Amino acid sequence: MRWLACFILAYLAIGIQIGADPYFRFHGVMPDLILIAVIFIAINARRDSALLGCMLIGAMTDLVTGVSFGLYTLAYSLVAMFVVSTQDIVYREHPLTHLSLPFFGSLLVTAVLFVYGLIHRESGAQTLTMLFASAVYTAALGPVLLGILQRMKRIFAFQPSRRRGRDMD
Amino acid sequence: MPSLRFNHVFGVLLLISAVSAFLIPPRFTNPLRTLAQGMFSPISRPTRILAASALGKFQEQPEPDGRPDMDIRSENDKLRSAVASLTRELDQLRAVHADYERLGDIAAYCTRVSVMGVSPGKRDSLSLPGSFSSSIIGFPVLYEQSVIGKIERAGIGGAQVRLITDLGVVNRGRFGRFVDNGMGGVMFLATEITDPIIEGAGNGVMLVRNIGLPEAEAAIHPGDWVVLDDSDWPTALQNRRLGSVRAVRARSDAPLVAEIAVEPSHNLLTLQDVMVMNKTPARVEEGRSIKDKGSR
Repeated sequence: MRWLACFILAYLAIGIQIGADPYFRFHGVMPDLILIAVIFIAINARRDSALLGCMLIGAMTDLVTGVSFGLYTLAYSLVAMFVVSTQDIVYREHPLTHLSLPFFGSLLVTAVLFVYGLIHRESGAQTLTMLFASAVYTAALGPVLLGILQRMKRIFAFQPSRRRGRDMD
Repeated sequence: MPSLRFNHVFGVLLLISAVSAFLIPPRFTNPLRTLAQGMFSPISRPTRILAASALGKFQEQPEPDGRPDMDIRSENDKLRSAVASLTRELDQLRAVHADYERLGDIAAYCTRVSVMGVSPGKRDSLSLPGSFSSSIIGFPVLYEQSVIGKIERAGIGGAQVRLITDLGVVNRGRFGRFVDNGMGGVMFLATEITDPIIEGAGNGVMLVRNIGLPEAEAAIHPGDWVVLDDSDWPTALQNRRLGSVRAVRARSDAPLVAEIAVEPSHNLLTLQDVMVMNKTPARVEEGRSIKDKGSR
């Protein structure tokens, strides 16, 4: 896996999310473009590289959020663990995969944020309904964005998963 | 074996991130963030400008003022007269009280800073590119004479503004509206409701949830202003606008208590630049004298 290409992808995803987020919102519901990048790497890269790469994307995201550092590192790592576990049972190019993985990934991120909100006693307009709507919005963008990224897979030089005992690339 | 070692390392990193997320307060990790925050500026700023020009027109636009032209001109004339009169009174007050030095034209005490973007996630906060001194943490941030937030963190990589609409932000204020003063001018009439607590609710909305419903329905109407009345903010910013009342309704969990939705005058998340109130009267005078010397 080309780490530079993955870094550039993460950099672009975070930069676009920061810059254009208010304009992508629909009635206060926002998509998670960074999660799309996480899922793309997690579904294509070898297990070890995918887990570490997605954890680093989470750490990069934590640098620009207003919540505690480590929250998105944890959330995206959990998403990567989930997606990596499905590598052998999903079709990576299928639109249904591109729809379902962002949806469940977003729900997982939502669950982590919700637990964080409960612990820090935050309440308000961010109801579970809106967080669920955000998962649906992200899932709706999944087939388009993941479809485009899948066509650019060669740039990332993902290697097929190896059996246990081999070094990570 | 290498796979087993990686699992251990990954597990430890995951544990560290969980501890950092749930146990360590953000103020201990903010210095690290301020170092790297501005690195996304080369992408986020052009993206923001492009998105504003391409998609901004699809955003909710403010409702046009449907009043006759002559009514609007008449109200403008009354407001100009009121401002002229108040400016004179302010000058007289300044001569008496040193604490009031920063009242009036607040722009002289502010520095305009462009906005790089928003914080990803569910927070209402703005990212400012550039290098800042950590001494500006807590400084007020304004936009067009309205208070919009405070600097939450600042460093050599950038700064973060926590908006008044962010979850967990609490301010005190007053409700009021402009009425004719009976002498051809207008005045700001505050309601009799005491000590409303304005809480940020996220998504560009603030809520007031500590007022009884009958009292609220009688005294507060959609369109009324909410102004700052909070000793945690500088004197110069008291009575600055926080937003306008959008709706008055009953709370879902307490039907006899009102839930008043308040919105800022602009969508704060789409602002292209803001003003940080970081100057003292001495620095403003120093700036003026430098300008005067340069013009001679």
